[in-house]
Amino acid sequence: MINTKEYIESGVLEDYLSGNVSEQERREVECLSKIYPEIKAELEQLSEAVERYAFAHSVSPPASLKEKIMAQLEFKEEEVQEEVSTEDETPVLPLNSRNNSFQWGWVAAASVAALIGSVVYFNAKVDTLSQTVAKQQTELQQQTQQLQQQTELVAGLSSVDNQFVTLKGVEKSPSSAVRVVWNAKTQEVQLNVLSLPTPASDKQYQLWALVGGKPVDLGVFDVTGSLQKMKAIPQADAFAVTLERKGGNPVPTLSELYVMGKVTS
Amino acid sequence: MGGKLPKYNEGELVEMLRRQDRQAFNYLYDNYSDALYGIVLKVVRSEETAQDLLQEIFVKIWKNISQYDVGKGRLFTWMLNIARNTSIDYLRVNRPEIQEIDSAVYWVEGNQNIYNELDSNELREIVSQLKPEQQTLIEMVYWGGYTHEEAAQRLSMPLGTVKTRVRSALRDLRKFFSS
Repeated sequence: MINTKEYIESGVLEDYLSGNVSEQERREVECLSKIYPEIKAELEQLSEAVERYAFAHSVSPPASLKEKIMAQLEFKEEEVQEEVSTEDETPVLPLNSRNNSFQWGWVAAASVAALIGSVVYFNAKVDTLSQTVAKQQTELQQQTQQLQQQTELVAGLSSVDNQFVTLKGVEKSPSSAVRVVWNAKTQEVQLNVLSLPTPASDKQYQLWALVGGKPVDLGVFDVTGSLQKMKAIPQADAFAVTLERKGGNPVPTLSELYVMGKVTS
Repeated sequence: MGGKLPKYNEGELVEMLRRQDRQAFNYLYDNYSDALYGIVLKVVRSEETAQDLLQEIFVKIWKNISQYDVGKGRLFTWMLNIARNTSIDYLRVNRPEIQEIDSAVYWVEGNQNIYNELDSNELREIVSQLKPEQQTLIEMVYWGGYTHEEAAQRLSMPLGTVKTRVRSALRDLRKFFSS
């Protein structure tokens, strides 16, 4: 017998909900809340508070996301149509049992009905099959494209003279990140977007090199998964990305600074 | 599909989800996607990433619904766990640099924007009764995936204080909701 009041007040239920418990404590909470209704009630109320907090901070994802997700799931559909068409086939059975010509007419009619039924049925099957094939083709295309991007990425990165600079997000967009590959020998600059918010259609990101404290334009780029070739630069202390109007600006808009990274020499 | 969806209780909904019922998924998504998306967005702070993760999360929910045990707690708590783990795994595995960039200051500043996102005045009022610091702690620990130790380090607070405050924040919240 445990003192449930003490157990509740120990804070272990709150820790359980935040995932801050050991495996043993987790099992204990789950077990005790099954035995003691007061512990179960407490846990229930605490989870409800977390739930409501989450609902208070709801944000709607774009409407298109739902369809994207549903396309990845397999549903058990109700097979109403298929059942109707298979029922039409049952009258075929009397074929062997009677041989009078009047009945033969029936048999023929039934066969035709069965045939139509089967055709309807198979057409439906073919429809679903071709939908599946189409879906798989799109998936394959996407994967091939991804693979191609990856291959290009690897090829572009493999030179020994490459220097990698990760530009990290600043306050404006902390989760953004861009990788710059700079070849000191050839002076070539390549860029790979790791994460950047999608810009408005009249805007474009622009890469800058900082040389002796002055920004030098290295060109604009789009948010894609592939490695993009930028303008070459012989020397750079740091790289930075700002969001500018489409086509770029001669000087960077500092309030629109997204990521930045120093070159380590 | 189409028309107004009927209202299911959690037991019915879970039962239907296990039968791979389309209607049930519609209902689940329509009712929970906004709350889960809000959470993931707070953790990864990139709309693009959050959308990818939300897809992954709903697919996981769908595939693992047979493992959900009604006796062990609310459906949302279970889904929140999946959402939290998926987001944190993403951050830890794919982009370890995020952890460095991230700062406690952002969490506190981020909280000021929360109020624009609220769609229910009532809920908004309740949550605003919590101190900003309590909100920060709830978000870091309950769905940011921070351990008590990490939160203490980031907020430069003694570990004991963080533990007590995290617990009391939730307890206060519960009190506000039930009163």
